[in-house]
Amino acid sequence: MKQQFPDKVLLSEFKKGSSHAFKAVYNLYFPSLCFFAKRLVDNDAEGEDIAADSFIKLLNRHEFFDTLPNMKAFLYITTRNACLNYLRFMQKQVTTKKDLALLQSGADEHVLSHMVHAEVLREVEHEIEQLPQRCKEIFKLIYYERKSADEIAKQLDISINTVWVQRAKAIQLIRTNLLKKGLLSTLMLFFTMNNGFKM
Amino acid sequence: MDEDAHVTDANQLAELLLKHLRQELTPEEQKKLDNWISEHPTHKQIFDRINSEEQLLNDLQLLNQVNLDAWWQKISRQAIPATPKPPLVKRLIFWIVLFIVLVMIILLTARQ
Repeated sequence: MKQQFPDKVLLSEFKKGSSHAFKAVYNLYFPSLCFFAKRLVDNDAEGEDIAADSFIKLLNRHEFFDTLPNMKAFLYITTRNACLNYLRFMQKQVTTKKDLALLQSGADEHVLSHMVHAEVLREVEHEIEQLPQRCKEIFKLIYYERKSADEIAKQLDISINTVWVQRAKAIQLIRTNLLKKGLLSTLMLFFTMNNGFKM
Repeated sequence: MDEDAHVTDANQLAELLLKHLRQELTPEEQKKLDNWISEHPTHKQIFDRINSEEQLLNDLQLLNQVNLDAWWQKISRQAIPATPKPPLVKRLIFWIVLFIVLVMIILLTARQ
């Protein structure tokens, strides 16, 4: 379960050094920070290491942050600098064409693009996180874990037919318009009606 | 403030892109977004990536590929120092000193 705090409480707890608040901020920003770093250095393991280092730096300075956007900015800036340092270091070791191109021309555009991308995904993920538990579960099984109807039916103890119907409808809905406001609530309504899930 | 320019721009552009996905852009915002897209090929790439539902779902999957529990263990071990309780003797001394000080204060005020 993700920790849910109102922002004010979260901030004051974070300043005090509460590990629950640390974890909540971690859940909020770490996935998108990793995504950003991985894309920027084009190396998954290295990117996750860099993002983790930035996060440790944030926690070590926890008493200095007054707003969530400040924390986010610190995380992205620290991560960006570490990524660029890493790319410069790699450039000295082996000059790969791609890295060289990134450093010589348009480093700014690359950084910005990946940052924007990570932020958009974080927001979309946040919307999905707002779904009621059961609905979110099915959505994630289908689209993130790419599970088959059989597996989902077994796992959730519902009939395969129900899963098929749901999946077909969900895919259709997502194809037509994933993010138009109201779609996710339509999806929710549809899950509720079809299954009588308690939301 | 070159340092913060990236983050400020990223926040604004992410906002515009989300509005675009929700079809809530004003003509003015639409213009801003169009300008940004035409500014650099990587900007266009990101725009296309977000617009393709298949790609968006793929990227969301990538976003969630991080082992959050494992990384949290590592990070919290390094960043959150364990704060052990002070030993019993120290705690006792603290309370005894506090008690003596209080008694002295009471005695002193009583005398006056």
